[in-house]
Amino acid sequence: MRDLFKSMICAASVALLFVSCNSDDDDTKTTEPLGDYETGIFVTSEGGSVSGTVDFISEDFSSVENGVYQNVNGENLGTYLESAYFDDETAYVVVDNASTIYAVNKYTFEKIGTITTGLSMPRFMTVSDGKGYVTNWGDPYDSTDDFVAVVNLESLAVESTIAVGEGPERILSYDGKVYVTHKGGYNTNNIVSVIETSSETVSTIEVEDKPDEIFVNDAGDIVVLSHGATLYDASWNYIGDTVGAISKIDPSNNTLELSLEFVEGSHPGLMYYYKGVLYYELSGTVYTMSDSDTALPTTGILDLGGIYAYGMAVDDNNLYVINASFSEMSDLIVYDLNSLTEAYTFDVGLGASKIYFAN
Amino acid sequence: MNMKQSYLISLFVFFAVHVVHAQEPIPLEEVEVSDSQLKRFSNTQQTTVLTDSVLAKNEPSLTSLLNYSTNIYFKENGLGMVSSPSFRGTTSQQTAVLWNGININSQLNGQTDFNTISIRTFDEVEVRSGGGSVLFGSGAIGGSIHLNDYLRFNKGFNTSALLRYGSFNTLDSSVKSGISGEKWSANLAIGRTSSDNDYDYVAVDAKNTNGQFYNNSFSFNTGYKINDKNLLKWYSYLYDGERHFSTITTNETKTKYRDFNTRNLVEWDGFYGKWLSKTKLAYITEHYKYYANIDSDNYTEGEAKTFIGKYDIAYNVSPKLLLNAVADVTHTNGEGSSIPESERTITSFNIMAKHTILEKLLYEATLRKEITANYDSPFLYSLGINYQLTKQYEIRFNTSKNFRIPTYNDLYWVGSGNPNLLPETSVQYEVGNSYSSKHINASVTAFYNNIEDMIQWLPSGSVWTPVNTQHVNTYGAETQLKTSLNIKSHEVVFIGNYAYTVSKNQETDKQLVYVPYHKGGGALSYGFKNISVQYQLLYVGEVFILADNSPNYVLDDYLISNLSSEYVLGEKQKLTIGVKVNNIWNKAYQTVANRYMPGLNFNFYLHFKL
Repeated sequence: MRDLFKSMICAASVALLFVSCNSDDDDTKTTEPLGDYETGIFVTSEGGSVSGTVDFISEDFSSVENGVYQNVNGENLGTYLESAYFDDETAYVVVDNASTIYAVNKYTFEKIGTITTGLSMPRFMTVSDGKGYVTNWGDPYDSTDDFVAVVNLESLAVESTIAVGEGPERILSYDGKVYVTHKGGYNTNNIVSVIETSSETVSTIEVEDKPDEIFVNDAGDIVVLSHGATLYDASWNYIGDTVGAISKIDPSNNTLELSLEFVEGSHPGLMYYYKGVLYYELSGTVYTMSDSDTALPTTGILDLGGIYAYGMAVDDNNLYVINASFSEMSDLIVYDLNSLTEAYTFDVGLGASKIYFAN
Repeated sequence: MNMKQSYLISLFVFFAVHVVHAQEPIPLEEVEVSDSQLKRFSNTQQTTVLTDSVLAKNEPSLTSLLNYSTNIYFKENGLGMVSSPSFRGTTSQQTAVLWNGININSQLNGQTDFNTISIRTFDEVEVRSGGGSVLFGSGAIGGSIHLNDYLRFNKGFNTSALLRYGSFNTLDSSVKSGISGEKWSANLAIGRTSSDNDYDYVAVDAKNTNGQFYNNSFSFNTGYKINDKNLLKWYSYLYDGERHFSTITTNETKTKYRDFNTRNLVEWDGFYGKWLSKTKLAYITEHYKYYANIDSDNYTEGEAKTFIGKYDIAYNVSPKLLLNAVADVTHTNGEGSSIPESERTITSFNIMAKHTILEKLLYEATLRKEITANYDSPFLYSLGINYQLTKQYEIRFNTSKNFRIPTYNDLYWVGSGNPNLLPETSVQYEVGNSYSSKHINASVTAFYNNIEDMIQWLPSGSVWTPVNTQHVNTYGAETQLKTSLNIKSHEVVFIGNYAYTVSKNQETDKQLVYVPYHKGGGALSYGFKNISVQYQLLYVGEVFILADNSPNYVLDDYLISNLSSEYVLGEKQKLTIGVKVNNIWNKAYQTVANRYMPGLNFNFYLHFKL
């Protein structure tokens, strides 16, 4: 009604006074907030003995709200909340054990709908060309039923599935393709799948064991972190490790152009990319690299001091690290990257794992 | 075998061969019950005996039996699902469960799931509060639960059958038969419980999905008196159960769990005047299968087979002094999807004494030392005093050191297990006093428990590994009251209990999760001739869900009421008709976060005794 009234006024104004109505519209958009969660930091927590949660920290670090989805919608999300994807106006919250994706208005966190059919242990989601792509483990004990679900974002229905290798994890959309790292689920895998979205054809690139985090850097390379695996013999004796690595893939021909291997037996845990700098965590220390580096750094920038680093992200001048706990509230620690000191700590949910920025 | 071991063994042989022949009356319990240490050395601690007739009135799970009749707190993942106790503020692995004197806590995870024990085949359940590791081994820190079968002689033939049917298509049926003469005694019991368990939640518009379960239990026990001095006994037990684990969210992957447990015990008792000798061989197995997706045939499993050899010799020096020594060897072989095949052998030596020094003063002292390559075993002890101040009033004092040994999961879990773990140890003190007269029985016990080296799984890099880290103090008080009033054919009985429990992590000063400060319950019964009515109450105070006692995650307190009535037909061959209404006020409550328990529900039962 209001819009109709506005356009009638507008039409009248245009007719009579030849003024533009567009600038007027823009003004109302900037003055009226779209919701309580327009700018700030989201932290998702897997849950465990309690439901997974989404927590929100205000942009000025003055407040934290735990359990945003529960507070707004009056229901639980379930376990284990693996990840979220923030699209233009909608946020998608992926809860693996519940085989459910919750679609919410990303500014108000009001539920729009759920995807409950066609998913099986969903892990991560991305959007490419107006369609959602979700990695799914299927039955984690079955290494042949893993897939990427293609979601119609209007109807919130899984339109089709694309069979992929064991244990698809992170998913990144870039240049008409989606890249999927195969950490391997309950097993170990060592591939990155490249899905041509127009044809839904899949090709694979081999990397080191347990590829997980994936980003596009400013040089236009796809960067993948492989954790490396720990090996056991048939009677479960430890027999060694495979190496972890930071690998670069050239998206123009989807070939591995560089693989920087870690020392055998050391397993890098987390990686994030922000404005020309790659951050990764190894044994409680944060290291940085630039796009042009061709060797791993030997010294880190920050010692995290024996925490259980379970999530990491960077925005503006802050490094965010999650010290996760599965028996009590986790901590989100905010470090000032200039001074490399702890600036803030917030209580976030049980088994907090991912950090997203709303701005 | 080292020097110490061989020395102790020769001491036992010495004990065993110096058997003196003289006529002394044999206490009946020594013949009928296998859990000798429970009956001999429980004079300085609180015990509660739940007999056959109490068991028959109750639902078949050990959880529901003990929840209403003892101070033990239970958390249950929804009705019939995984159930863990907390006894005096301790963890689920710090309550020992014994079957005819054999510790049956899982070798794999160290605890007993109280919903995998059906009470239907047992003759008696006895609850002993406080430490008892010398007598009952690992886990007897908060207390111990004893499942006993009786072998009685000269009782002829008896049989009973119970059939109970109720809400959610829950069926509970059992038959128990016994026959005995002068020399032989045998009894057989079979029980089956099944339920759709699809109750509607009270507070929210949803129902319990994928909660169905069934279990079958079977027991056969027999005894043969070779002569006046020698008695042979055989106990066997089998449990086979499958539970689907109820889901929290509707679209969740459905899972299920199967348990298959067997227990066998052969016992040879010798009654040689002042000497009592019991030789026991037991073989117990546990096997679970977990189906992470019921639509798939894939599962993970764990299995442990335990062989126990035990020699128990008691010497009644005089009617006032009992000396007792036990040596046992426990050999376990376990493996699982995530546990490589591992064996462990534990040899233990116990020495115990009960001594009445004055007419009204009695003390009990016990010592235990284990020898194993598996962990560094502490020296365990207990000392208890019972002083009968007046005919009605007694005071008890007990102190003990107890332990909980690392489990197979703790030691051997692939990539995570820590072979260097120490046992959890507890030093505790308690003072109890009780008053008993014809119409009133009341007791108050205060306890303090210092538990160190508690095993906790903590992340270390990307893997989780168990470490001896927690230090917890628990203290509090337990009270019990029973009063009865008889006027002509009218009988009114009130039984009540209440416990106040503090269980603090000494590092953080926080209350342990899922330990309520307050728990209380009671039952008021009225009987007139053949009819009786009972009103049962249970109050559980709020509990913290997270270790930091976060106010965001607190489970509310609840008060539940049940109402039941029974009508007895016949004199000797009795048929009891009963009806029970649970949660009559239809309260929405949870004992574990996000796991609703049922609202108002009913069951009817017929109990036939011949």
